Amino acid sequence: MSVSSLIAELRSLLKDEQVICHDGGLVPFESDGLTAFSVRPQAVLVPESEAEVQLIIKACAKWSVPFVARGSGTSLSGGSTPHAEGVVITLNRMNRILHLDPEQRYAVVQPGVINLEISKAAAPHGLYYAPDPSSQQICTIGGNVAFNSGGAHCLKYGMTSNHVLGARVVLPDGEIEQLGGLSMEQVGPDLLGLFVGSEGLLGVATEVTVRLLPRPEAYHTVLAGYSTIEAAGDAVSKIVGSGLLPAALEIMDRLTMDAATAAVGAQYPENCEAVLIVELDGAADWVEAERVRLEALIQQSNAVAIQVAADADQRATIWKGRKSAFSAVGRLSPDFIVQDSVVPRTQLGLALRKITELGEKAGLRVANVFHAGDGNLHPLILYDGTEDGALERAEDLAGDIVSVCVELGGSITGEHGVGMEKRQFLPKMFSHDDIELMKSIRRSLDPDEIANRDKMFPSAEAASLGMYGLHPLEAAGRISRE
Amino acid sequence: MTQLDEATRRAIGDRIRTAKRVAIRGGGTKGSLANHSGDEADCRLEMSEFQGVVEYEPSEYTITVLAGTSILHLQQTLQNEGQYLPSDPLWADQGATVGGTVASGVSGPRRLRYGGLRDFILGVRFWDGAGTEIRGGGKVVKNSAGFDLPKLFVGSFGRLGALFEVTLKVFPESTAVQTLAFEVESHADLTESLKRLTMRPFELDALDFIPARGNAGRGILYARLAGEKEAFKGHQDTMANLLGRSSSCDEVTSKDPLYGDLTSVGNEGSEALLVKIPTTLDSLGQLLPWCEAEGLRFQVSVAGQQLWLFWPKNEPLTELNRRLKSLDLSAVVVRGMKTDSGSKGFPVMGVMRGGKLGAHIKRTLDPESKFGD
Repeated sequence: MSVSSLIAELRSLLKDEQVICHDGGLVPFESDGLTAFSVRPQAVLVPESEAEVQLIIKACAKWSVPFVARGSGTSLSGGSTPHAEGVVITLNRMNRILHLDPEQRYAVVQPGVINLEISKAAAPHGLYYAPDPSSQQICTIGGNVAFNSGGAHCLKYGMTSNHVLGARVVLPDGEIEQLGGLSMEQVGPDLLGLFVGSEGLLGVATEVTVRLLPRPEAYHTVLAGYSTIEAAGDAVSKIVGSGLLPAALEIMDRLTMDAATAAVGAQYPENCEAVLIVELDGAADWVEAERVRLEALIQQSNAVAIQVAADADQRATIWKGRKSAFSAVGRLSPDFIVQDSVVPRTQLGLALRKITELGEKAGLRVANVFHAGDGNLHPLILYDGTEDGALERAEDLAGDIVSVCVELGGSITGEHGVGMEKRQFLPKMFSHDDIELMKSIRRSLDPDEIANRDKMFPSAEAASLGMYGLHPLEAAGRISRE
Repeated sequence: MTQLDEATRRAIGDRIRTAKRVAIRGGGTKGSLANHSGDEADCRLEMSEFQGVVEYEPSEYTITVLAGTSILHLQQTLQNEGQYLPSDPLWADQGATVGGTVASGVSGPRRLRYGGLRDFILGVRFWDGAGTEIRGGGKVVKNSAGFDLPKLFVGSFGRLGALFEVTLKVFPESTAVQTLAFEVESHADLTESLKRLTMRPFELDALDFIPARGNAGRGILYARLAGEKEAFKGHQDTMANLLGRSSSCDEVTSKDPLYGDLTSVGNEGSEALLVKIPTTLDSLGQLLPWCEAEGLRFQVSVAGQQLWLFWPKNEPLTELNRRLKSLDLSAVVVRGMKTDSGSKGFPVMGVMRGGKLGAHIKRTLDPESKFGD
């Protein structure tokens, strides 16, 4: 391995400003959305085309230097944390929407295109791109593909993987491959499905074809308050059991509401310990028919308060409170850890009780905000990193919560990915043979493991730990987390 | 509830480990895709031996079944709880199995609304070429841990391993359905109609076109509605306005008769091979005039995203292969090839994508090609 040889070679092939090696240029790339990990890379490379991505990766393969591709760096699992002996390939300059075909409802975009920009470009045609991670104002489609990003509307619409039709990718040996195509159907093994969510271990997407959907004509968004979080959970069971398929079903607990009020001025009904946000969307007459059914269900659900968004502004206000929740918790505590475990929906109540008990035992506050429709919890563990041993207690608690969720039949991650943060938990879900097979797939393409080394799989090498707190862009109000 | 016990799993793993060629057989409804003929194999896995529901909790929207479970049994189990598999598997009445449906990667007309099999598969368990038992994915509706092996198995044609357990996401099924039938005059009219209907947020369950016999340009466009019956009339009127014509329609029921015509594709045991061609509206516009000129029968499914082509058995596939390549399309013969053609008659045509990545994966999961080439 020779980083200096790699850099010398790339300097001869790229413009000066595309090969950044000075400390001032490297520091911004030390961390992503998971600020616990901070590693200074050897260089940051700034390709402007697929050909340049390819030559960089070929050179990395030649000199056996690890690389991580990165967009806006909003990963919450440390997925784009650099390797200390490696380089970062930043794709932000590859940020063009190459083609948008409204009649066939797809767009071909470069990996550095920001998620929300696709919907903005599609809006004049009455179309939009459905996956909506809370960071959608800043996260890039390349990162969404690498981590199969979710969002608040996964229950009805699925995740990134369900909306990607095709991708051009550079494999870790520098070969270019076209996966998928333009049709919703394909022939042969779903290699595109394997690539999406592979966390950068199988290569770098240089072009992504996404499916666009007709924008819903109408929304019906309800915020219902409950005296206990269990009652809110029961309401979810009733709605799901009725056969309605809402676009979103979200729950926030009191602590999270207080944070959202402090941060963005969101207003919630008093005397309730939890709120449920339910959203219906679609054709206007359809939503109207569903609204009647939903109202009856909520009336029967012991809600202590019901607010219905009367217009787009009120809907936006409800979502602003929800989508700001993670960053908002920064108002209540100097540091926090976000978890992303999933439990079977029927186990939500039990999981929340256990989380509360574990939090009390650890002497730490835990705020809960979650995608109730798909059992995806996001416990926020609050602590003060300046207190002796607080970080360790918080991390232990996070580990205990993950264990509880897996024991209840769930997953260690619903939408943030394994990344750096949850590597040690992978064996809780998969056997030695399962993990070895995944590693073999990776090594068949990348024998030296240069593509996003030390991510996803358990590794002996420890990362440097820092604080779990607000990302600088979050503190500045530029980004938010799901 | 059924489980495949550890001793059985280990015994089958051992058989695979020591075999040279492993033939996997499900319901035999998509014989063209069989990975080996029975004669070629020294290990035959009759998946019908592995049937049953492993786990089903309706409120979770998930079901886990053994791979040899028939689609019919799966559908009945789900129906009893008011649910269904939105990818709309085909040929249930002829014995199609869950494992075979996953391996073939085939979805039916109703995949239009929420997605195909790839969008509803959550977990798999399988034996790889070394006979090792592997689990991929999970059992909850949302999971992003590890590589997405379940999706990889969709359309793998049994070449990557032998599936023995599958976890699927399911949805509540609508009790009210109605199919509207619009007359279509020409291919141009068809693609224009599909464009207009797919640009609006209709909750369409299926949108398929069946040409009239003897005149490939004319035919009927079927638009299936499912769900809020109070909204059916409004949808019907809006669609009629968009298309500039009225529709005939069947009654609002829980089982519409017209829908049956859409799913009987390739049932007749005819003289034709049934070929699945993933399409777009543009490629459809290029393919259909050719089909008409050649007198080929076809059915357009999933709002123009999937073309079923009936290719005469006595015609060589060379011309079709050439045509597909020129249009940058791929295809697979799903039914009609001799079931014993095995590895010699691999039925994929046109442009194949992902060859390098696919080859790496094949070498990793099945280095000795026990499951076929």
